[in-house]
Amino acid sequence: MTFTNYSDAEDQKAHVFSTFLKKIRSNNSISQEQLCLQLRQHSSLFYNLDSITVSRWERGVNIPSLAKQAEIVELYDDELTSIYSDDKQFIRESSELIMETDPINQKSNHPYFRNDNYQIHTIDIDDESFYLVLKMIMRYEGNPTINFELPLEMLDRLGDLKITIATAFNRQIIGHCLFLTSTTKATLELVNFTTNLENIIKKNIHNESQHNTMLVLSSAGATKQVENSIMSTYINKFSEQKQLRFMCFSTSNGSLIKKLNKAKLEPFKVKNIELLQKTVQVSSYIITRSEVMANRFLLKLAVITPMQLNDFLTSVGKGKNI
Amino acid sequence: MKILIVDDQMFIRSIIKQQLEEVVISNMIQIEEASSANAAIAFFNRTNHPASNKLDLIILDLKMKEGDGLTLISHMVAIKDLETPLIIISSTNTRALSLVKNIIKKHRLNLIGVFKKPLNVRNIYLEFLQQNKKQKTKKSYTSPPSLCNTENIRNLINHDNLLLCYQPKINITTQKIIGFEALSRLYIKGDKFISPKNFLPIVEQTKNNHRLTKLVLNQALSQWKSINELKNYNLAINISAHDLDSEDFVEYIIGKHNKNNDINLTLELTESQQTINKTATSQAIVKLIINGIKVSLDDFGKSYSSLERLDSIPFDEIKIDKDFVTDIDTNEQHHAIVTAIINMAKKLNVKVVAEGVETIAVVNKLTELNCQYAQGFYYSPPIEGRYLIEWINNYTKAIGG
Repeated sequence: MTFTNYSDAEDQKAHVFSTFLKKIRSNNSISQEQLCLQLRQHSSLFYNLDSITVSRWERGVNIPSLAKQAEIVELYDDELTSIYSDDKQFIRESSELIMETDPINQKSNHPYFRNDNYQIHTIDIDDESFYLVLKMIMRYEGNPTINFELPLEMLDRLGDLKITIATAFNRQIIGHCLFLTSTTKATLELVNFTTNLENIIKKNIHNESQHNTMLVLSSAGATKQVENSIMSTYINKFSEQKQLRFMCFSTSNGSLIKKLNKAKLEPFKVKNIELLQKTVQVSSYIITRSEVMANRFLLKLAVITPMQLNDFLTSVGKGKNI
Repeated sequence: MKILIVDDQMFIRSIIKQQLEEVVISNMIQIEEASSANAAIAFFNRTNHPASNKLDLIILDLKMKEGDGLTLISHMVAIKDLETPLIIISSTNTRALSLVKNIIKKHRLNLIGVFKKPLNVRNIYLEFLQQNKKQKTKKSYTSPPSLCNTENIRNLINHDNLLLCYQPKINITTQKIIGFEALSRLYIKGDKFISPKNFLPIVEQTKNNHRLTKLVLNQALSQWKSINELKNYNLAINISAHDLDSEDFVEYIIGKHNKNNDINLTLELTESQQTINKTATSQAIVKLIINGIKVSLDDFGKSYSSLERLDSIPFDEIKIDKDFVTDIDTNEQHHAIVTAIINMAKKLNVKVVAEGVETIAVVNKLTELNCQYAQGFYYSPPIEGRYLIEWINNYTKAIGG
């Protein structure tokens, strides 16, 4: 049996999923019928698949939903993010999410920041600003479940908390996120208010390979672009760590909630908690790995690697200097 | 901003009016008064059409001479005015107030709150603003995605868009897995995700239940067929009792089951007790049971809460609705309801599955109550088919079995 050799130059216009199918067929030396058979055998989603459909997928006549694409891609030991990161058009769309397109109408909720250059840094526990930034984020969220009773400096394993910040001139902070990886069980106790972050950290399993959930506790930016840049840092991490099956948000921050709703995600729970005679409303979201991959907005953010993110951000800077 | 104050005492009306004018910042405030429910209804009829003339808020006293507060409430129910924000004020005791509150809630009027006299108008107004804001955001949560509507639902329910997840049912004492419930998700072109909460009502409305159930049944059976290990576990599919009205459909399920008789199949029945109590429906249920298909009563306590038929139809299990289970550690009423259901099921020799188990506190309560089986995010969120075996292996290893 012979196969048309898959070539980059010829296939530039082909859909990235079509290209992927051709590639796995050529790598495994199988026909469309054989591919169809393998899918029928290994996934209940394709129990009545026929080779005509496979041929249509390959020719790009139609393309299955992202969720089904993810299923196929993972059956062949790949990830949707890695095949879409080869798609120039897709990457261009991703970069548009984090780069300024209309500087004049740029809305910012930071008084001294509009669309200036900014950088993204990860801050770990050894960084001298870690405690300060963590306290700042806790104040920003005002979410009682992420407060600490003990002084922060006395807590062991605070290093499980991951912080990324966006900074503009003079290192002023214009965006941040706070997240950690843990188990769904611990996460559920938190979203049901039966535990707090302090206890989750204390009891967090040391072995990260047993963590199946990424818990995002804060994610914000002065502009939409900064928000997206910050989001891409943890969503990319989530997509890289295959053992993570669920992404969970727990927040009382209205603009993040709005953003998640706009991405068509539905809250798992909306709960009220009393704090100093004030009622704080905390919304939680539990999103499966497929839902992340099948969500075009989240997938666009997931494909951006930290290196690409920095490239994009510096290229914006260069553009402006000219 | 247009506000209607309904109170039979003129001085109370004028106090509220005066204080409102102080608190409401907008100078567009227009305050109307009525001295009784009947007067208010007359006002309604005069002004509520056209809609642009609509009231922004009603402040209503409960006890009035000519037509009390309940009269106006019934009127609002009758004309289906579920939008106009309503504030109840009263000097009666709290018990009566909470009763009225329940009536209003039952009819889903837009109640902002119930306040006891003497009134603090500023607080009442602030509550109104807050609730109003909340409702606006809430609306944006629940509005179904425009891509899923009655016109295109038929096209959406096809094999390419359906993706099943499976949630384990666990024996609380032994921690062993007894089976899985198949839960459907729809993914659509443009790659938006729709949860059953949003598409099921439309599926019902457009009578596409059979189509959906058949797809679910086929996909789930093919999952169980493709992996031998899964045959150790029960497979549960959701089905609406209405579906059983069709003999062809019942035959279809029985046919599928006969072809796969090494798969332990349960149908989880949702729907009102009226449907289940219909002779035709109960005959269909019995027919399924005779053919070796187990039947379970879903959402018990919510839609089906009667003991009727529980003795005449040999249901395999009842599933306690998750709204009752999720907070039994803190909600005494729910604790009482769950206790009663478990005890009753024990006496009738029916299995009980508590749904919506999310925390260890709830697991402990269920253990105390001798509840046998549980399902919920505590054990696992719904799992996609491709991860199922891996989950089973990890879970079995973790419980040391």
